[in-house]
Amino acid sequence: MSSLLPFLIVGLVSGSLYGLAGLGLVLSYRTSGVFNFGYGAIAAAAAFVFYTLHVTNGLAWPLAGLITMAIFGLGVGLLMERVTRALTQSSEVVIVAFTVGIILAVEGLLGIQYGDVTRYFPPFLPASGFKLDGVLISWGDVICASVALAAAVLLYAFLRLTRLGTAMRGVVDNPTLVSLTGERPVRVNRVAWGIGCSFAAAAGILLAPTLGLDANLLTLLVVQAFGACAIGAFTNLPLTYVGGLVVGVAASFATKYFVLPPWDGLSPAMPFLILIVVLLLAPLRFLPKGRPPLVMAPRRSMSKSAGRRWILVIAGAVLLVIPWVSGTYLPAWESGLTYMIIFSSLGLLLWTAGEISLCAVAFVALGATTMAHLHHDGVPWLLALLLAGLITAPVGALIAIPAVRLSGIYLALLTLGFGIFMQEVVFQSALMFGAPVNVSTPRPNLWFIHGTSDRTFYYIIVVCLLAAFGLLALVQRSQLGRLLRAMAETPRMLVTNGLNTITTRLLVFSLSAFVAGVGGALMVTQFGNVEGQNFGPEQSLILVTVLVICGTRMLLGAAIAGLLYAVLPGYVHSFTVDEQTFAFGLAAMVAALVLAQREGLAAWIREKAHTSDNRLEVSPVRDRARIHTPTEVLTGSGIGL
Amino acid sequence: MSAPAATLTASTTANPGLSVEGLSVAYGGNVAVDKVDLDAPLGRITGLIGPNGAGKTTLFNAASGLLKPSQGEIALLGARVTSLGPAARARRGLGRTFQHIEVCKAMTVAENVGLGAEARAIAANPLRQLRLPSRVRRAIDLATDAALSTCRIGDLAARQVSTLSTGQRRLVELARVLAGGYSFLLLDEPSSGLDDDETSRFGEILRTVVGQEGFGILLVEHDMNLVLDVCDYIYVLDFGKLVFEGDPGAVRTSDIVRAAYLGDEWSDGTGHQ
Repeated sequence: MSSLLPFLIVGLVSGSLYGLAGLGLVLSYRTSGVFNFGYGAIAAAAAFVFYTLHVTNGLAWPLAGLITMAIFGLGVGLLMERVTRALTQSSEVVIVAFTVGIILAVEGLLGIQYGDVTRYFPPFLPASGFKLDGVLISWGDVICASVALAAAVLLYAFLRLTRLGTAMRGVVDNPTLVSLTGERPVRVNRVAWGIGCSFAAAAGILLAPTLGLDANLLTLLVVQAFGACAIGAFTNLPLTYVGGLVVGVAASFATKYFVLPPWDGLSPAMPFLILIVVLLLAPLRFLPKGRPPLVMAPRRSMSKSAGRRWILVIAGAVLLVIPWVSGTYLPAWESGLTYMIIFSSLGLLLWTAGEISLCAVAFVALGATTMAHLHHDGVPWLLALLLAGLITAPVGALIAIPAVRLSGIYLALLTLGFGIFMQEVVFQSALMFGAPVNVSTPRPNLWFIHGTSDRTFYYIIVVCLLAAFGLLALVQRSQLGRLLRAMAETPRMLVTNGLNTITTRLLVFSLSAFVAGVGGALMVTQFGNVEGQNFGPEQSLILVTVLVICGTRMLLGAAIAGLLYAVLPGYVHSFTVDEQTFAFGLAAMVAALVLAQREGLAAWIREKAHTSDNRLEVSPVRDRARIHTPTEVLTGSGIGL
Repeated sequence: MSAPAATLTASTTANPGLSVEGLSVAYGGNVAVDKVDLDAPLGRITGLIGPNGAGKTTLFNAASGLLKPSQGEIALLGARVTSLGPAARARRGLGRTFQHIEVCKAMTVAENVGLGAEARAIAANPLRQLRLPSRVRRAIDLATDAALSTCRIGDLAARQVSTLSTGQRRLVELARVLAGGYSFLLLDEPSSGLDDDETSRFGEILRTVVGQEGFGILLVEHDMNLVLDVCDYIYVLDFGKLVFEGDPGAVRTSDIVRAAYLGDEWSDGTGHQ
């Protein structure tokens, strides 16, 4: 027992901080309906503010902590409430895009401001302590755990004893009840976001000394609160706190028992394993209901218009002449086209099937490593390329199995967890990057084509791109494409007409993984070799946000995204990676707001065009974000038994 | 009033459509449907009415397999289907519409109508997800055209569903189940959102299809005029229990139905103002 005690203590201390973060996350999620993937980013930003106040400006830590929690935390909370008001009625794809945008924007901003290195964060809590059964417990640990416990108890008391708290509890149980309680919904939301962000700030400050001041690390670690939320079924606050403790202790014990690679990755992946297990096994009625998927307004089909034909002809001509005009920028174009293929695999899921995936990069990595291993075993290049896709496809199907049960936020969380698990555990195994084999592939020689020159290799990629886009366009127009769009909008209708939608999901996830795998295989061929760290889960987040910025058309969006993500940075050297990340994050937030308000915006623009002198026009944001009145709630949808 | 057992057995053996025996559905401790017996044979329109919250939609969801009943049996065309999922029941000939219209707004009317038949033809065959045999495809196209003209929405075939009114969307949903070639249809409040003209046209269409095709319909409806007009036999639910059953004449004069419905008329009156 005494050998376990140090691990138990470490686990309980970090676990209570996860619990604290989880409480804030659940509270703001359930009251506002917006699940904040950027929650960890807010915690990271708070840690940086605290660092500036305490270390740089020498403020005493309790004062600096209080200022960070009260002014920064509450301020960000109010801002979040105001901005997310525009999102309350929108689909989960939009919310994921917006909140992942927060992650990128904050990471980029912190990188610009403080540089990318991990800064030493001097421990500000006392390191002295007392011995229990021979194990030193520092006062710092005691303070951490007490702060978290006190916050949880205070929150509990506030929710139980005050009128506003009672209203909030009602809302957490059933968000549509908000206006029946006599409380102003905006006020309830403000308080919830305020508390949520202050808790995030507290968790960030208290976690920073053990992690160092690293934006990426902090962002992903407070995200461990997701595991805590899952144990609380995204609704139950006391259980969420307990969930945090469970996650912390389980992760800590995993460091004791799993020390050899690849299993040493189990500890960091633990919260997500717990999340995955809960999402897969918990009866669905315990999880809060999702929202309707993003349904695009109908567009006039351009398929037969002459304009579209000309655009395609011009695009084709540009593609052909690029190697002769791009000079030293040709590699940027090569990656651009490869990324177009990768983006199209994601676009198929997002815009055709209405499924959110936050682990796209894991499939790309799998394609790349499979390609390298096959090449090492002497498989010819072209065959290896196809096999890389075909071997990745069943892993994609693996994701489809939970997708049968889950959609929206839960699928997003699950795929994020899967991506982290892949990176922490599977990447290091001999199947992927952990092998003695170098993950590398030389350029191919296909019959008379010598891919070793950059120009010919470029044309090989063009052929692959056309094949991938052609395949996806065919699918989109086919019966399967119609089924996918119907499944995104009305899965119940398909099921009650006898369709086995599990097969449909398996097909689309496999197809998407196939295309991503081929993209990965091309990538490893272009660069010669790749490393696992280029395929972290944050890359998947970036891909999703870039895709959302580029509109909702599957292939056009993928093409623009490839240009924006891989070609443009090749030309524009003045931007640092941090500035780019920041710009992508900000653009994703704006794009999400536009998507959420597209009907309102369109109506608003029409109104403005017609009655430019009418000053009484309500802004689209305020109009759309209106919470339903009691009469609407009582007489409206969903109550019929 | 309990269901007269004699009628039930008699009609079940004659022309079995959908029959439900001792069906109960509970949400937690709350019993939404309580030991309901109901029999809706083929060739007839059977009505199911009751105030808001009486358990009508719950009964529909249990009948179509979306909900698991806590006890009771469901039989379709004389065969027990209680343990089957919604897709399997559809493959055996049970079609349904939804109270909240389930259509694909970004697709055309014709695509929506064909979708039901496509889904049923694909069923559990993974290869058919990619492509249906051309013989089946032709049959679906024919059924789609026929359903469009039966519902008199042939002129809307190429329109996006998002541009249609609620009434037109209801007709799209009806056309979809008609094109699916089902033997028995569950229609959940098909007339809500329709104006008087549309409602009476809707009733006509129902009468015509039942007369021509001979399939059975179980109709949940709030519009009493439509129910009394088209139904051959009516069941009345209140608080999850069957409180009355009989032909439209009997329902019209029943005190029990009046008592159950007074509350509903009142709440409808204030709710929809």
